[in-house]
Amino acid sequence: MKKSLLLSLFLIFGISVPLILAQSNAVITGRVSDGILPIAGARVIIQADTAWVTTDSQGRFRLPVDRYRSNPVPVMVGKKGWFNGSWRLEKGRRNAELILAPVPQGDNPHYRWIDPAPSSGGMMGTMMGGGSQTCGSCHENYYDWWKESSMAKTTRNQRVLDQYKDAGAARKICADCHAPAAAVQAPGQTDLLKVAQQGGVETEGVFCDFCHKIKDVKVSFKPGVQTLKFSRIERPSRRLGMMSTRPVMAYGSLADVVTPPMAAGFNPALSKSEFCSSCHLNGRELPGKKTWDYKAVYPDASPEEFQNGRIVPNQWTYREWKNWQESLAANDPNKGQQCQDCHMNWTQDMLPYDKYIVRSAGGGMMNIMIRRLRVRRDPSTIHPHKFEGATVKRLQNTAFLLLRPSLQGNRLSVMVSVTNTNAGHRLPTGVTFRNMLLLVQATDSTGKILSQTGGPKIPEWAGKGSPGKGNYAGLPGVGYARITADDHGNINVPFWEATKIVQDNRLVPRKQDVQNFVFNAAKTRNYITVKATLIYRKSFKKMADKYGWDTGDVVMEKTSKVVYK
Amino acid sequence: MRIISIAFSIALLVLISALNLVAGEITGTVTVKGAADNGGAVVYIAKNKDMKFPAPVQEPAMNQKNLKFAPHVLPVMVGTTVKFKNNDKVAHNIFTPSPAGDMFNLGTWKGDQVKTHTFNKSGEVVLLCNLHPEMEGFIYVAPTPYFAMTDATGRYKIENVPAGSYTIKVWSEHGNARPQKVKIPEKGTVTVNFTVK
Ligand code: HEC
Ligand code: HEC
Ligand code: HEC
Ligand code: HEC
Ligand code: HEC
Ligand SMILES: [Cu+2]
Repeated sequence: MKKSLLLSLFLIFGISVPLILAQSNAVITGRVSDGILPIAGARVIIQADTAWVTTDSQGRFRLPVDRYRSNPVPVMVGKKGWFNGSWRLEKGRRNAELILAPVPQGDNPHYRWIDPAPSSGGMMGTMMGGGSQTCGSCHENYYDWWKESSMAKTTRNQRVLDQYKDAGAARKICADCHAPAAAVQAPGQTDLLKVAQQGGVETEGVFCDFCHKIKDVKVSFKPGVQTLKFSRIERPSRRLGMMSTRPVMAYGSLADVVTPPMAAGFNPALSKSEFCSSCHLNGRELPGKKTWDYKAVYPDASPEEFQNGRIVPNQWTYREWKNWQESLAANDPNKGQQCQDCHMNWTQDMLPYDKYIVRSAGGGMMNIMIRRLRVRRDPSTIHPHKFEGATVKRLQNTAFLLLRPSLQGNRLSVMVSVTNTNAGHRLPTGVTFRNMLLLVQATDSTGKILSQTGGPKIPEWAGKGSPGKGNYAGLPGVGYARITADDHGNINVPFWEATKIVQDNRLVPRKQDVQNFVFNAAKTRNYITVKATLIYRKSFKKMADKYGWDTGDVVMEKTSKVVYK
Repeated sequence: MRIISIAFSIALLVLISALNLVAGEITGTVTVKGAADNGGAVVYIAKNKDMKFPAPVQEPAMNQKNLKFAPHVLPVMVGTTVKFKNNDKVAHNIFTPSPAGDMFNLGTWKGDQVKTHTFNKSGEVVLLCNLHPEMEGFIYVAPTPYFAMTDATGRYKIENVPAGSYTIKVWSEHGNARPQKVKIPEKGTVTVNFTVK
C-alpha cells in the first residue's frame, strides 16, 4: 500500500526512482576479523546512523541498507580493543572481509598529555605534527561545555584546597581524583597543592585526553586513578593530503569515527555509570580490623556494600545510583539510566542542537578543514560535556514539595512531603557535607509567626544563632544529610577521620518523605499562610564559618498555601 | 465514527446550554505578583453538589520541543484524556510526582509515538522530564467545564455559565489567590479580579 503510493508519487512527479528500489536485497553481508581470526560482538554501523548490528561468533554480519542511501555505503566497525575501521561498500555486496587493527597492549608511563585548550598556533600548529593537536582546536563545543564544568577546575577549587591543608596524612589520596593526570604517575602519593601551583596540562583537572585514554575501570572504593587502566598511546605521524598529522588516539562512544586525526577506538565502557565510579565511589577503610554498625543506618544494605562494615562511605554516588537501579522492576521506565544520560545531556542554553562533534571558530584553513571532516549526526548521539551537578538551575528542578495544611479548631496540622524527582542518586549526594533544609512556617494575617507544638525541628548542625545569618537550628523543619562521626562523640567529621555514619536521611530517588507538623492557631483570625521552603547547602554551617566559605544556599523549591478560618 | 460522536456531543452540549439558556459570563483580570507576566493562571468555578455536565470530548495535546513543554500550562476539565507527543530531536521522559496525575510515568521516547493519560482527579499536575531537570510544565485539571486561562495581560473570560451562586478559584504556578463567591445572573457579565501572591 505504502510502496505503491510512493511509486505513484514518483511517477506523477517524475522523481527519478533510485535504482536500488528494484533490488530486493538492500543488504550487505560480511565478516569482521583481525586478518585471521573472527572478531565477534563488533558493532557494524552505517556512518551517523542510530541503529546498528553486531557480529556473531563467526564475526559475520548482515546489515540492511536504507534503499535511498547513496552507493557505495560508508560502513564502519568498532569493537573494544580495536581501532575503528571503515569501508565504502556496494549495496548488495556479500562476503565483504573487514579487517581491524588492535589497539596496542600496555600503557606508556612517559606519555605527555594533550592540552584541552584550543591551540593558539592555529591550524598549522595543529596539523603539522608539531605536537599541539589540542582537542579544543577541533572540538570547540566540547571544550566550551567542559571548561564551564567543575571537572575543569578540580585542582583549583578553593574549598578543596582549604580542606586539603587540614587533611594530614590523608592528603596523599586527594590528587588521585582531584588531579588525576598527575597522580597517575604516583597514585596515593601526589601533592595536590604542588600540582595546582606547577601549571601545565596536569592542572587542568579532569580533562579530555585523560578520560579518553581510559580503557577500563574496576569498580572499587579505592580512589580515582587506582581503579583505572589506560591506553596512553602515541601514533606515528601520517600524511593527510598535503600535510602530515599526528593521529590522536582516543576511546570513544562511537563506532563510526575514523576521520583523521582521530585514531578512535570504540569503548562502550564510556557510556556506563561504572566509568564514573572511579572518582564518584570512595570509602575509608577502617584501620586494623575495625568495623562499624552499618545495619543501624542502612538496614537494607547488603554486607558487600560496606564490606561487612570495614568501609566507611565517602563519595558514594555511584553506589546510591546502583542501589536505586537495582530496586527498580525490569519494566520500570527509569531502568538502565546511566550517569551520562543525566549529566552529559542537552540543556536549553545550548540550543539549537549542534549536529556536529567538531567545530572551530578559528579562521580560514582550519575552518575549511573542519567543515570537510565533520559528519552530521543525530543530536541524541551527541553528549554535551557540561557535567552539570548541583547548579542552581538543576537544584531548582530536582525536588518536589507538597503541602497540605488543615485547621481543626485551634490546631493547624501541616503535612509536607518532599520527593527527589530528578536525581539518580540520593539528594543531596557527593561529599559528606552537602545538606538540605526543609523549613516550614505558618503566619497569621497580621504576619505573626505561629508557634510549633508538634513535629520535627531543624537540627543543630544547621547553625545556632540568628536565622538572618543563616542559622536555622530549632526552627520547625527537617535537615537532610549524611552524618559522619568519630569515636570521640564528634559529628560531621571529615571523611578521613570518620569511623562511622550515624544518620543518613537524604532522599532516595522517587521516594516521598512525609513529615507532619502542628502549630498553635489559637489567637489567629481571618487566615493563615503556610510556607514550605527547601534549601540546598554546599556545606554544614559550622564548616562554612570555620573556613570562611559561603554556605552557597540555593532555594530549591518553595510553596505556600492559605487556610481560611 | 469519531466525527459522528463528536458531532453528537456538540449537539448535546448545544442542547444543554439551550436548556440553560439563562447563562452568564465571568471576566476579569488576574494580577500575578512576582512573575514575568500575568499569563498562565487558570480561573475556574469550584464544583458544587448540584452541578451536572457532560464528560469532556476533546483530547488536547501536550507537546515537547527544544527541551520545553508546549504549552507551558494546559488547563483541562476533569476526565480529559491528554495526548503526549515528542516533537523534539532528543528523547524525553515525562512523569509527574503530583497526586492529581496519579504519579504517572510515561517512560522515555523519541519520535512519532503518542502516549496518553486520563486525568480523573482535579488539581495541579506538574510535568517533569527525568533526563532534563530544567523542563517543567503544568496541566491544571479543573473540576468543572467552567474554566479559562489568563493571557499575558491577565485577562480571562469564562462563558456560558448557568445562572447560580458559585465559588471561583484561581490556580497559578506562582502562588495563591483568595477564592471569591459570585452570583451569576440569568444574563450578563460579572467581573471578578484576583491577585496571586
Ligand atoms: C570525565 C571524563 C571526560 C572528559 C573530561 C571528557 N570526556 Fe568526552 N566523553 C566522555 C564519556 C563518558 C563519553 C561517552 C558518553 C556516552 O556515550 O554516554 C564521551 C564522549 C565523547 C565524544 C563522542 C561523542 C559523544 O558526544 O558521545 C567526543 C567527541 C568527546 N567525548 C570529546 C571530548 C572532548 C573534546 C573533551 C575535552 C573538551 C572531552 N571529551 C572530555 C568522558 C569525558
Ligand atoms: C584536527 C582536529 C581534531 C583534533 C585536534 C582532535 N579531534 Fe577528536 N575528532 C575529530 C574529528 C573530525 C572527529 C570525528 C567527527 C565525526 O565523525 O563526527 C573526532 C572524533 C573524536 C571522538 C569520537 C571517537 C569515538 O569513537 O567515539 C573523540 C572521543 C575525540 N574526537 C576526542 C578527542 C580528544 C580527546 C582530542 C584531544 C586529545 C581530540 N579529539 C583532538 C577531530 C579532531
Ligand atoms: C536521573 C538523572 C540522574 C542520574 C542517572 C545521575 N544523576 Fe547525578 N544529579 C542529577 C541531578 C538532577 C542533580 C542535581 C541535584 C543534586 O545535587 O542531587 C545531580 C547531582 C549530582 C552531583 C552533585 C552533587 C553535589 O551536591 O555536589 C554529582 C557529583 C552527581 N550528580 C554525580 C552523578 C554520578 C556519578 C552518577 C552516576 C553514578 C549520577 N550522578 C547519576 C541527576 C542524575
Ligand atoms: C578522574 C576522576 C573523575 C571521573 C572519572 C569522573 N569525575 Fe566527576 N568529578 C570529579 C571531581 C574531582 C569533581 C569535583 C570537582 C570540584 O568540585 O572541584 C567532579 C565533579 C562532578 C560533577 C559536578 C558536581 C557538582 O558539585 O556540581 C558531576 C555532575 C560529575 N562530576 C559527574 C561525572 C560523571 C557523569 C562522570 C562519568 C562520565 C564523572 N563525573 C567522572 C572527578 C571525576
Ligand atoms: C575518590 C575520589 C576522590 C578522592 C580520593 C577525594 N575526592 Fe574530593 N571530591 C571528589 C568528587 C567526585 C567530588 C565532587 C562531588 C561533589 O561535588 O559533591 C569531590 C568534592 C570535594 C570537595 C567539595 C568541593 C566543593 O566545591 O564544595 C572538597 C572540599 C573535597 N572534595 C576535598 C577533598 C580532599 C581534601 C581530599 C583528600 C583528603 C579529597 N577530596 C579526596 C572525589 C574525590
Ligand atoms: Cu526531556
